[in-house]
Amino acid sequence: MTRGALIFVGVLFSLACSWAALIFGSQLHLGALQPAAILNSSELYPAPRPGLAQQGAVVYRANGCFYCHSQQVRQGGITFGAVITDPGTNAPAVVAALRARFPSVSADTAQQTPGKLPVVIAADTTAAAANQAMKPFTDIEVKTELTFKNLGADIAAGLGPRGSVARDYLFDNPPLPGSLRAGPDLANVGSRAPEKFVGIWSFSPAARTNDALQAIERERHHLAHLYNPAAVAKGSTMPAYPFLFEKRPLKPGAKPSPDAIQLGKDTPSDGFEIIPSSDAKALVAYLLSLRHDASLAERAVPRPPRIPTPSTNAAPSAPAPKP
Amino acid sequence: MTAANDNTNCAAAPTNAELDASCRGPVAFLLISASLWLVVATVLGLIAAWQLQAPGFLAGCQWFTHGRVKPAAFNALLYGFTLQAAFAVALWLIVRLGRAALSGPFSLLIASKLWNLGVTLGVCGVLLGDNSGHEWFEMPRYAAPLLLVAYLIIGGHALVTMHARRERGLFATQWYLLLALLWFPWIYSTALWLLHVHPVRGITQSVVNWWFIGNLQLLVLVPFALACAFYIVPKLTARPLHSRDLAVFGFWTLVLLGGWCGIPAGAPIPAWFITVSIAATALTLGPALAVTGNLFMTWKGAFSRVRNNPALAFALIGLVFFLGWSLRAAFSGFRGPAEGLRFSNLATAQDQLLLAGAVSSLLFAAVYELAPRLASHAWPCAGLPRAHFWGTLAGTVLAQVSLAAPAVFAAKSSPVGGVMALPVPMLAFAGVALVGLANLAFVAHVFWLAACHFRQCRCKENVLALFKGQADAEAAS
Amino acid sequence: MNPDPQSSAPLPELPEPTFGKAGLPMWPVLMLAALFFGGQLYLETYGGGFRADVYAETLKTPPPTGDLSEEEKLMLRGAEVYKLCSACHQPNGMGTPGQFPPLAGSDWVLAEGPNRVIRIVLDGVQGPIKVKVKDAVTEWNNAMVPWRDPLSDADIAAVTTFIRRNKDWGHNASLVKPAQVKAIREATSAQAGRNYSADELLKVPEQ
Repeated sequence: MTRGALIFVGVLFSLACSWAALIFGSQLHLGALQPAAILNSSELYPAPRPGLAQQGAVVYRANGCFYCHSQQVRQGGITFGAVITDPGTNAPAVVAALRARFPSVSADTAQQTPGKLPVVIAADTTAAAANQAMKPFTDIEVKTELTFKNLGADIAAGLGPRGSVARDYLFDNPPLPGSLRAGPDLANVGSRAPEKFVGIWSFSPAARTNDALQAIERERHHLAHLYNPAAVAKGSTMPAYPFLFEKRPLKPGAKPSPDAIQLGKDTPSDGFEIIPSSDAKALVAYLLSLRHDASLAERAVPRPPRIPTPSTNAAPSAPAPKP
Repeated sequence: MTAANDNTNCAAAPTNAELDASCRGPVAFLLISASLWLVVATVLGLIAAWQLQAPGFLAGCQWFTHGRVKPAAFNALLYGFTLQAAFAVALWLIVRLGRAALSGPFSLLIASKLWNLGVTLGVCGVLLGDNSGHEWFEMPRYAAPLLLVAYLIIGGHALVTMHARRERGLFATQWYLLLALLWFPWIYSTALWLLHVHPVRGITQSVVNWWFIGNLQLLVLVPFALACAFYIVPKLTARPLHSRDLAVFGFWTLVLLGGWCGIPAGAPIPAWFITVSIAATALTLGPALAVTGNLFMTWKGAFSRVRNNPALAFALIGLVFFLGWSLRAAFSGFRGPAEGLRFSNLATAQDQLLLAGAVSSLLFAAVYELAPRLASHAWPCAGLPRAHFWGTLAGTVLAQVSLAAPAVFAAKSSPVGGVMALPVPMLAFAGVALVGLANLAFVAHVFWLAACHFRQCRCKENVLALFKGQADAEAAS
Repeated sequence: MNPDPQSSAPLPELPEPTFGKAGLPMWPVLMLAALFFGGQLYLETYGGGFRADVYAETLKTPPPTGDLSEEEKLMLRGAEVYKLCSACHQPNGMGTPGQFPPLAGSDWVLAEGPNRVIRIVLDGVQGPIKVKVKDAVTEWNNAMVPWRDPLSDADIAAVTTFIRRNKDWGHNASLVKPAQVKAIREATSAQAGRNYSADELLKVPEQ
């Protein structure tokens, strides 16, 4: 340890190993990632953000939103299960298999079960065990399906239906996954169900079932929230961003412009209206584009089992008349 | 002092005074600049901390919105104060331990000015909104390369000076300085290239960012700090370092493991990256315990010297903070604890403990030792170092307890679902403010010392001691 | 600046630090060895096989997604594509008497292998053709449009799988994969633009 050159070389070599593994390894594994097809669809995911949302990403980054908001949903594992989706025609065999699987179930219950689809034959177990449970049923021509549930505190809290993966950030330059949650995670804020906005935000009943109305209400909520977070979310420690808005004088009796934000009872009534600037609109467009909920091969989103509807099982209809 | 024999091949070995004179210009400039940046960082940091509990504070002004003030404060602290102070201490230690004059003092002054220009542009850029989006690396692309250029000159001269040393044996301090001086340009240029010049695709930018942060912490900042610790503790306790082999062990294990840390649990990347980082972070307990054990064994029986020597006092709390930081990092990195802790105030507490706690304290320890020698004048005031020490200790402990305890004991969520709600936010602010005020006391003292040097005054006659009472205590022990 | 000559006495200083004589205690080495061993186990168990597509640390391969089987995907897509065919062959596959032959029960559809039916879909068929359903043979004489250009290999595979395995028509013939369609498409590129006749098709082996 008296030779500086020896230390130099030794340090260089050891550290180069970690550089190679983490930097180089990440390039090998993730550097050539491309958009991939969503499961059971031919759409590619992700798509590049539209222009306004792309500008909004710059506003998000410039104002340091990522210091208080993260943009990654974490997942803690997956459990698997199996269900019967179509008992087929051999009812006694199905009942027998069910009783073999669930010995404690009474005969009557087992008889009625095939009629109540989907029938759960395994739950909260490993994939291998679920496949094992499905086997006696598939052997007798029963249609079964593997189901799964995504686990984790973030998913349980409603932050998203699955954990975020590398592909979600493909068109983010730079990606802003964040490291603190002074405010809620924003990875899925563009698609979060109204009731999952923690507590305070309320969507009108009409908006709950109408996507177009909901999009409008979301935009209004975000703009109002940016202008004055404390008015929209009680107890919020988020700073206000009034510099993203313009206070324009409103002539008495004149209708407010359609762009003006609406703060409910906090709407200023002193002859001014608040108009969002293009930065504010871009930022909200960016927020509304944030979704990490597409079902991908590396992390899928659970979907309801496909139970064939009775109409597809009907006998062929009479031949169509001659044209 | 002067060598007994005058060999024609080997000029008379320089005295401490001559060595100090050779590096006075650049080291003093770096220290003064670092102190000024410490003031800036403290002011901005206090604004950011206050905004956490009074969100309306300065919210209307777009340059001082929380999301801009916070990174500006952090960059001012990291690149403005910590790294400049580290370079100053490193240059002085290399000169002193190698017994060779500093090479290129004039170009070092230019480089330091360039570094300061870069940091100024960077911090102003962040306040204006040109945040790069990468934590610990926020400076925009018109400022970040300046730092690299400045560093190449500074680091280059440091390595040349070390190469030209008379004292061929390398003490533990120099191993750590060599590590930090070599690795900083590598990680900084990698981050610069892969994040600014030729940005890599998608989340791999975050991987580069996490790698940069982990390496900067464990292989640049911690080595600078440990270099100070290994110098201050044996020297000021007048004891030899307990075990050379243990020091070697601690050094090489840190080198082996440090580069793999940094990827957080739950990150949206394939699992093996995270697993490797978690394992490496847990393993860094080895070097952390080896280093602190070695130094505490050196110190055993001489702890009383801390009472009258702020340098030793800061070294003590610096080492304690470093050990606490390592332990907390090792245990909170695993996926189980990380699920509840990752986005919480524990992360803030960890950064505070490392940067404003461990690394700063150890750098302060070195500065308390070297500054009077450069200034050829004792520290003029006995009270300010005490205020600095107690403020730092009390403030750090208060901030740590108030930030980390609720995170660990799972604070109830705030109404808007954040996980960082604090039961008593004022406590955390009070802790940060105490540390900030203590740092301001230190800066005031540095300027007072500089004034004493320039006036060549003899206002304090402590020619027998650096600090009041130190001589008596040392005579007694 | 040079120190003031009046205060020439340098500030008191202790000597520079030196190394002590103690050797390497065993405890850090043993501790690190134990940690390394634990680390290896940890990497093995939670390393996700060091694969780029494994995000769940406890698994070594990507998890099954409960996705549809290849057959189910082909049948779903085939049902969609069949809507193009149903104009002539009718949604129930019975065809139009006198005009378009049935597919349900047809021996052409239910042949051992899909070679002939893929060619029919690719390049159409013209002229007299006999279709046998159960034991009844019927004669037809019409022109079927070729689908070589409008339909991809995947779509042709899907629709031929659909007509061969449609449970509603009681069919249970073999699947058709896109690779098979691709091979035939390339092998018969000379046929493009020209309909087959029944005799030409009968010369093609079924499998």
